[in-house]
Amino acid sequence: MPGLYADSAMIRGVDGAMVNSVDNALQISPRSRFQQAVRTGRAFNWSSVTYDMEAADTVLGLENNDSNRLMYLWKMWISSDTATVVRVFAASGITVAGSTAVTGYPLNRNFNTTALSTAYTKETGQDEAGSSWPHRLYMFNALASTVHCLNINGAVRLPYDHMIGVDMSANAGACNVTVWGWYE
Amino acid sequence: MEVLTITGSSNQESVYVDDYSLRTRPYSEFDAAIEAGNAYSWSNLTYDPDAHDTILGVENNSSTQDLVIQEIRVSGDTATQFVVHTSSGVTMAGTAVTGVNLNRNSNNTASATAKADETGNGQQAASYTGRLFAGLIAADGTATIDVDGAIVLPNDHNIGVDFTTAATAGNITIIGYFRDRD
Repeated sequence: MPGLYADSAMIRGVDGAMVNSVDNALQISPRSRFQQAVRTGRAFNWSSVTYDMEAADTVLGLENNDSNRLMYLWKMWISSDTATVVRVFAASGITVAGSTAVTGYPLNRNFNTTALSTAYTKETGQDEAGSSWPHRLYMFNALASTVHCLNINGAVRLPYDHMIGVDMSANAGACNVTVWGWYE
Repeated sequence: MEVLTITGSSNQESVYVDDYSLRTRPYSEFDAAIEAGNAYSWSNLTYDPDAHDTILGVENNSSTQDLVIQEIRVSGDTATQFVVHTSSGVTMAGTAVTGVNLNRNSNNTASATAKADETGNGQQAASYTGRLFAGLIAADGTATIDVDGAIVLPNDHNIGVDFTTAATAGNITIIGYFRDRD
């Protein structure tokens, strides 16, 4: 409106609360996309069943079956009781299969939904290894009995019918892969 | 050009601009919970666990607030697989563990039941259907799981950590905080 202006302001949220300033800095409370997804029940975990794997097994394969939303990967944790090379790769258009189905459960236990996904321990539907992993995303050497965390933070996004898999090169007595991600 | 000065509600401090950027102060939900005296640590007293013991279990007993898990630390003197699991409707049993308030200015106590060598849950018998995470640690190794608030437990839901291999010394620490349910 002409002639009216503000030369100072305080910021108030719709709930009426005023924003603080401390040390001459505006206090902010960042909430990541993942944290918001947890709040609204869109974040899930997929964790492989521990098993006695053979060399070059795909320990866990996880496919997005939601035709409306992307699957974002937040973190992956990988471990084996034997030193091994880990290969994390993508694939698409395959029929995900394996020894044990893995259901994606919500990280926020206020929700009873399950993820629109297909996941298997000891996944056998894809053959990325046969083509020397052309869609490899991460390759690293892992120490025995050490949990390796990949902080993906949503950088890997899977559309409908796309999957991610984790291969381990060495025969091992026990191995685990856990993936936490969200839909958006 | 009109200059708009922003002040905060706490001390009426004017917000500065540094290098043409608004000076901000990130203050996470976890920070706020610590400040309010709503963040706790649950850590079992070291003991000699059998295979498949639940070394530590923590249950939320608040009917109005969720228990949000921030971090889990796992260690033992023996190489083992560990499983982090969740379930609900359990009568928690074992050796009582008191949640310690992270803000030592606060006298708040946690609305939770925590037990070492927890025996009330049936996750192992159910092949860990409530598995949230599984991993392997070396003897005297430590795994730190930076959950960053991703696990949210309503009233009567619990979190537990099992070792699949017997050990002489097992330790679990769970850091979490309470927040009002959405």
